[in-house]
Amino acid sequence: MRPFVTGVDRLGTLVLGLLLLAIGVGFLAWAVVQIDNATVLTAPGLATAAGSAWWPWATAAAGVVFVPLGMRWLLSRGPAERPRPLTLPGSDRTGRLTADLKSLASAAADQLSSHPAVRSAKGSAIIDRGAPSIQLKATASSAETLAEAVHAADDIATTATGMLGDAIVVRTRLHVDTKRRAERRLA
Amino acid sequence: MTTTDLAPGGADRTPDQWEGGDHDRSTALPAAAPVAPLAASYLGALCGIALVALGVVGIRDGIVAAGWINGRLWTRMTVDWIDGQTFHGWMVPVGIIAALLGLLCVVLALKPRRKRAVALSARSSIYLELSDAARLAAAAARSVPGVVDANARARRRQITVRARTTGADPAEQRAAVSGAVTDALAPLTDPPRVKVRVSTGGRR
Repeated sequence: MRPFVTGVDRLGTLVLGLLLLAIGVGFLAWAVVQIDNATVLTAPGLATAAGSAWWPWATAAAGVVFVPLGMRWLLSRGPAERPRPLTLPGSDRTGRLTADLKSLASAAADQLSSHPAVRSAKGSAIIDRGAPSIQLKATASSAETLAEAVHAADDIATTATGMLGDAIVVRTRLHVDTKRRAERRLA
Repeated sequence: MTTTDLAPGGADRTPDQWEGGDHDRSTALPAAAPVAPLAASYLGALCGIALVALGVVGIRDGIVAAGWINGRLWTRMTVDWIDGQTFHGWMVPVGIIAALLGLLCVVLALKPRRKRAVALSARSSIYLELSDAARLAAAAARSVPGVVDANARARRRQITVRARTTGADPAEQRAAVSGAVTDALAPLTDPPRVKVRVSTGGRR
């Protein structure tokens, strides 16, 4: 999820929380201070405004703004943003060199899964917290081969980063299949 | 202008190109640790729905005012209900619930996203999920002679292992389990503290 969307979610939740807190505290304060039912809540300004002829037009105008804004807010939480092809150094007016991060992630995963210490691997390219990144998810064959799997993933990640320079980051999430023990070969 | 795609079918890349070659480098740029989904995002979606609903009510009142449909203005009715409101008994429980929910929302809005993985010692950013660290610890504990069964719960700073043993020497077995788990978690950059609880009994 984009940092902007998470920020908006946090802000919206904070506003909702403060609103609920204000209503709750207001009700409780009302109960403590005036238990004799003598206090009447008045909102003369708001009542006058709501009685005006322009009120429904104002609410309609607000609605026209709120509906697309709310829809945009809801639709912004789709799947993770995919990075565009990365332009490589050496590009100039005569031509542009680009790297398809999705293909690179897939190739890296294929290479990683071919290692004996790794049972399976998947790769994807996403924008993670604003940065184009390659995500590798791999499962080590067993607990005993974890160190080997780490070494293999390390080689793949450093090679991928070396190919593309500092423009991308590679993150590997390693899982361990603890149900299997490492195969022991005698010869 | 021409465009050349690098690795459109990246799987065809030769092993030499992956395993070093001219492009290899000693370290990769650090990537951010995997984090749990933002709790506030669910409430954010709720706020989005509420905003759309408010907008629909506003537009509906505009349509009523235009005379396209019959009915009363809902927003005006709401304001009239608020204006002149007196205290009622239901306001106490509603107030308590609203205040608690509000407090929860504020906490969720400000709470940082929980990191759900621990870094492994490597040149690049390699992470092990906390659940996998727990599985690793439990498997290591089960491999200790005399341990009948074991399970583990992992947090970023501490792993708690509960082991059922045959009951030979609890202190010795605790030390053996602790040693095995510590060894299993050695590949972590910052291994969590290992806490072992041993109980005796072959079967439950």
